[in-house]
Formats: sequence, C-alpha cells, structure tokens
Amino acid sequence: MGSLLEMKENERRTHLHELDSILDALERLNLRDAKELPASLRERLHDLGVEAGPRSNVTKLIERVWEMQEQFLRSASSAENRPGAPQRSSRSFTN
Amino acid sequence: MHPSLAACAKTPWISLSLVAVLLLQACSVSVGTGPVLGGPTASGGDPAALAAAQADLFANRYDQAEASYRKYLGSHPSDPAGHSGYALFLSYSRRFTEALAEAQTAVSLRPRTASAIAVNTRVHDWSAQGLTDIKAAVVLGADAVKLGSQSALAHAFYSEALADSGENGENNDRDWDVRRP
Repeated sequence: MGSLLEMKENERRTHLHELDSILDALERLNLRDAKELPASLRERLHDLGVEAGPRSNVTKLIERVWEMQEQFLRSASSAENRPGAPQRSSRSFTN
Repeated sequence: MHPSLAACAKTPWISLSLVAVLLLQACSVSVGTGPVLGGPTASGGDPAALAAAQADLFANRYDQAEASYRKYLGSHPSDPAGHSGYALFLSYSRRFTEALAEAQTAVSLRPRTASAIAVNTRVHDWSAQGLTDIKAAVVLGADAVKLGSQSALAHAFYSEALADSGENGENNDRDWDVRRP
C-alpha cells in the first residue's frame, strides 16, 4: 500500500515537473513580452492538450497551465479528506 | 481563481479597477522579480551555462544536469541562481537534505529574491515531514509571490504548498479578471 502511494506521489510530481518546465518557458516569454510562441513549446503544450498558435496570448496560456496544475494538487484528493479542510473551488481564473 | 492569486488578494471587492490597484500594491513589490529558474544570476554569473543546466534538468537528463550544476557552482559559488536551480534539481531527485541546504544557501546569498524564496517554497513543501513544515512552505510561498508577483512558477509553487496544507486561499467570493501574472 505504501509503495502504491509512493508511486502515485512520484507520478504526481513527474506531472508537476513537466508543468514547471512549461511554466518556466512561458514565464520567460512573458517577461520578454515575446509575441511569438516557439514551435517546440507549442508542441509541448499540444502534448498536454493545450492548443496554441504562434501568436497565442502567453498570459492566457499560463492560466491554462495553472488550471492543469490544479488537478495535480493534493487538495483535490487527500487534503480535502482531512477533517476541517476547506473545500476547493472550481471557479476559473478569468470571467 | 488560482489559489495563490486568491490568497494574495484578501481584499474586499469594490470594483475591478480598485481591486487591480490593491492587488498591485499588495503583491507587486518589485524586488528580485524575474524568472524563477536560471535568473537573475549574480554579477559574474553565467546565464547561458545555467540555462544549459536547466535545459538538461527539464529534458530529464539528470546526470548531465547534475554535472552541469556542480560545474557551474564550482565556478560561481556565490551565485544564488545556481544554488536555486541545483536545489530544484535535488528536489526532483528526492534528495531533500541536500536540496534544503542548497535552497538555504541561495536565500542567504540574496535574501529578498523571489526566485530563491520560490524554490525554497517548493523544497520545503516536497521535503515536509508534517503540517508544520508545510505551513512553513506556505509562509515562504506567500513571500515569494509578494516579491515576484509576475512569476508563474512562484505562484505555482505557492499554490502547491497551499493545497498541501489543506488551504485553497479562496477567502472571498469574487473572481478576478486582472491580467496576471
């Protein structure tokens, strides 16, 4: 049981690692105020299920990746099961 | 709303424009902003070498990444960005004792840097042995997003710590459409 939990935790962190990488790349583009998304980054986003064109809005993409990150946050599962733990909201970033 | 944004925005809702102002006042202290990883390097640092190490890390070339970080820190032992990057690498590698030491070194070299504190947040969160440790990560994460409100990774690491602590930071019922980060 312990090893199963550990495997799941490792898998969770692997996903977070991948999202960290993409967020870092988007963050750099955003800070440079870049207007064009590199093809390699668009491909990685595509692999995640996020379609992005060459001139997609970087801020919106960061928000999409944040949304994807949320499914790997612990409060979606274990933390919510703790007594007294607040419930997560399903509200989106932007209206 | 992203949990870290909600936690950063515990302000009454009056209007979106006022919210934007309050948010900027609360969260946008322009100290040490920049990408969490690989920058800013200390004067005399080598951003290209650090970027190469990071590229290895994110491409899962862990052996190469470790060699690159070690080489970099051998040449630039006082560069907090190098220590932060290596701390994150060690954290992914589940070598938490070393990761904590590297993260602490980065913070001690440049205490008010969002990037160093953000990585310290992640390392504290992933190495936590209990709720007290996670709460400490939450405090660090709040500081990181305050210092680096433009940093997507700082928000990501803070959100993770908040989630691990059982909090989601959503203390009001209002959504934001303030352009962030």
